Amino acid sequence: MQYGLFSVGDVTTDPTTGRTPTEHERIKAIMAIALKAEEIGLDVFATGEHHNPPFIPSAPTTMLAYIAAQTKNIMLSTSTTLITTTDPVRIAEDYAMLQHLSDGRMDLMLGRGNTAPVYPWFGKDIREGVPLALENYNLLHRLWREDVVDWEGKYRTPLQGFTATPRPLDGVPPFVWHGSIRTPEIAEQAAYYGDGYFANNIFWPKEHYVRLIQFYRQRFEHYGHGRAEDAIVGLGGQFYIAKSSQEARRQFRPYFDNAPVYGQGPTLEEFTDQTPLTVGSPQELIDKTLTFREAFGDYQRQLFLVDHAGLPLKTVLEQLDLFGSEVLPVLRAETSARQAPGTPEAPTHASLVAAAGGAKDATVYADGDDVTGASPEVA
Amino acid sequence: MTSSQPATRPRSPYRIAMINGGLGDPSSTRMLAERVVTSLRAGAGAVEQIEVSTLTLRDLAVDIAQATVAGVTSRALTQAIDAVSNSDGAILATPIYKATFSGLFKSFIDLLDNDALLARPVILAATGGSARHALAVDMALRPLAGYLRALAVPTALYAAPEDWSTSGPSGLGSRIDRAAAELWAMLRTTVTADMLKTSSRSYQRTLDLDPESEQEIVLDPDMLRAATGGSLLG
Repeated sequence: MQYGLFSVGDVTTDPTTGRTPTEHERIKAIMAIALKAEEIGLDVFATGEHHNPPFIPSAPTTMLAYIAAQTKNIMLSTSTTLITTTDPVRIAEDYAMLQHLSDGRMDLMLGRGNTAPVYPWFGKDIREGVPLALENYNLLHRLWREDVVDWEGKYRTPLQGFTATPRPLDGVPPFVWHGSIRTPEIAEQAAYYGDGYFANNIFWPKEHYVRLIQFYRQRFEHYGHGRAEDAIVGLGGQFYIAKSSQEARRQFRPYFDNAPVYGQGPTLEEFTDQTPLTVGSPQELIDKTLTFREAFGDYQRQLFLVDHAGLPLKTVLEQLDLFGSEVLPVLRAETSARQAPGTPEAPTHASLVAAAGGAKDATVYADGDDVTGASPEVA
Repeated sequence: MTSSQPATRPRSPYRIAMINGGLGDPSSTRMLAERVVTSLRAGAGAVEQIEVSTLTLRDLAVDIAQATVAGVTSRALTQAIDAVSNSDGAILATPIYKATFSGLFKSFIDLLDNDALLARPVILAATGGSARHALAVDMALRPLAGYLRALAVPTALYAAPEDWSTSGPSGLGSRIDRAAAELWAMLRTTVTADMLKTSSRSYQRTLDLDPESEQEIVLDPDMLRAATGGSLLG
């Protein structure tokens, strides 16, 4: 079981001080949070991808490569990589590069993106979002597995004799999660390829996510990747913790009440009652998180949102220190004690290499071309 | 896009969602809707044939507002929305304010999935302060039912204050009986199931997230092909 963070990357005013960080401050803060995640022993750090204010992570692989260079253990991922508006050729290239730079310490989560105006900025149409995502991923899947791709589809210019470089590290493509909360087509595709399925369940009661996760599990089994209970599932969550629940609520309430993401709608109490948000003591967070497996079955990855709503960096780092000392060790122990024997772990580069029968260099050595007249090596 | 294959289930009781947009308590809108139910039950011959979910929107007003602006749906509101999606037919009852259905009523309808009432027979009913709003049912509610792709019964119900004291063949009571009889006639057919079944591919459907849903998840064949490595080209 992996525990980690996912950051939306919003630039939001701190309602308790009225101060709004600059983009530069926020970008550096996210880097500091990722390094703290490594320090407290978390398994995953994931960044979102956005192309409109107030969000800053427009270039996730640049951010993740920076983090990779400064860490040793943590897996780097996305939440999500936009499979609709990003050319799958660029995803193949960017993430293969990240895979090499991080020595395989990465995977990625694909999502469609639900901000309608973003699509036309990239020449796309949100009404075509689902088929666009499906087609783009089919191409991405091939680009990482076939050295030379001839391809023709509905949404992208055709490819003739195209080789995406660099080739995947050790000949093993990055593991892919598909994020979706109510699109069975995406769950079907995740199941078909034996990929992971991530339900970012942070805004609705958990009942809303049960059905699609069950569907993904059934289809995973249907396509012969293993038993339904062995399908690779990830979930979201969010928390604000303090030594006592009264203290946690007192500290977090102004952020909750003002954050655009909560819409100034329900009360903190209603929201924590109905969604995975925990605002309380470390024990309350542990108890609530442990109920997720009861609703969705044993799963492989739990990501938490902690750095949003204008919370200052110092507070987020303190949250993570408290999480690392009082929550994470208990979650790990309790989860392994409770989960069914044989529950698979989320794939890692090492496990994927082992499953592929060992590492093999996948470099495609080109013949000399008529532009440079040179070749690195002619086999 | 998912398609729904109606699951086999006993044909009775028929599940009716009574959406009451009345703001008062007691409310003449609720009174109108309840008289429809009474008439429907009388026409059905046995009270147990008709199972009614009464959705009193005034009790959900804050939840509806929060769901609208914050996207967080309370348990009570979720139950109300599910009751509509799981219904065999519905009564849409609203007061008429400023020439049309009330804002609260429309705000609730806005939170329904587009296919919540797809191919379901519905009665359109409204109350108002004077007879001059009578055509609002046909000019405002009926297009809304059209958008929802519901099957509105031919007889529209409108009750102004004076209608509560009328009687005879053109009175409110006989219009209620007529609308209820029309709904009952449509409920007893297989038209809803047939439309969903034979035309399942051509309707955009929303995935029903209720874990107990009877809706089977069936992908559009083109999308299924694309989801399993196939091409979207011809």
